[in-house]
Amino acid sequence: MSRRHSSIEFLGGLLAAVVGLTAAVWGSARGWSSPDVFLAVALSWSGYLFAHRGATGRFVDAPGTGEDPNVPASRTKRLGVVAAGLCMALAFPVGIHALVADSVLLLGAAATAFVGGYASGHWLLTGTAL
Amino acid sequence: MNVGRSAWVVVGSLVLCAGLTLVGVNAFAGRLWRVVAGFALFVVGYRAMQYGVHGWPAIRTLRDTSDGLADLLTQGGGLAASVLLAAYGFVLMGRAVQTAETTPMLLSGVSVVLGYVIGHRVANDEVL
Repeated sequence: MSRRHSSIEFLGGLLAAVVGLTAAVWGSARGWSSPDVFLAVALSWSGYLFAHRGATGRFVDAPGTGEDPNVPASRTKRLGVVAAGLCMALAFPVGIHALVADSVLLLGAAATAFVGGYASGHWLLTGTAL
Repeated sequence: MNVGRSAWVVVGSLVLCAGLTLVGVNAFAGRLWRVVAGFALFVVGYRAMQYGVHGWPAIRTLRDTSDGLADLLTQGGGLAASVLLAAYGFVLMGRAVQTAETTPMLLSGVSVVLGYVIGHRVANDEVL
């Protein structure tokens, strides 16, 4: 299996994923047309795919085999995974508040918290960020 | 990656993005079942991409063993629960934006993340 890592692809992809996610949620809440929301979603998803390739060398992982998931032996790491999950969950109230307050910057912060929580949790569990 | 496999990344991504668009435009209108359909398309698109790139499973191996059937039912049930929880979380988000109520605001993220974790555990063996 080829493993080609690229920090630029990883970080650039994550940035596109966050910008696209912010635009997709903002546009959905503001009544954008479906094609416009689709473009924002496509930007976010493409960013994720390239970030994934930058981190792992492949766009998509193989499907699961039905085995038990990796759970880190270290208690600190397990707490870290829980904190990462909480970070993802708390991104929602922050994002909702951002939409109520009409702040696209705060919505971007919420999207960053969601993607950041996901990437750090995934890294703690598997050793790769995506 | 050869051309055929690359094409599955594009095809799967188009289906998946269409699904997420359905999620977005309907979540803020409170249309739960369209959001459910959107997440179902997300799962279909993602799975098509995974199988298209890494190889499709032989249908016989799923049908011919009771383990295979049990796995299939577990996966199907898990994915259904996952899609429903994620969809409900996004509809709660839409409601919270309109009403600014605290309960749906807090529950939305919990529902989406729980749905994601269940789905990812079932589909990819990993929690995240």
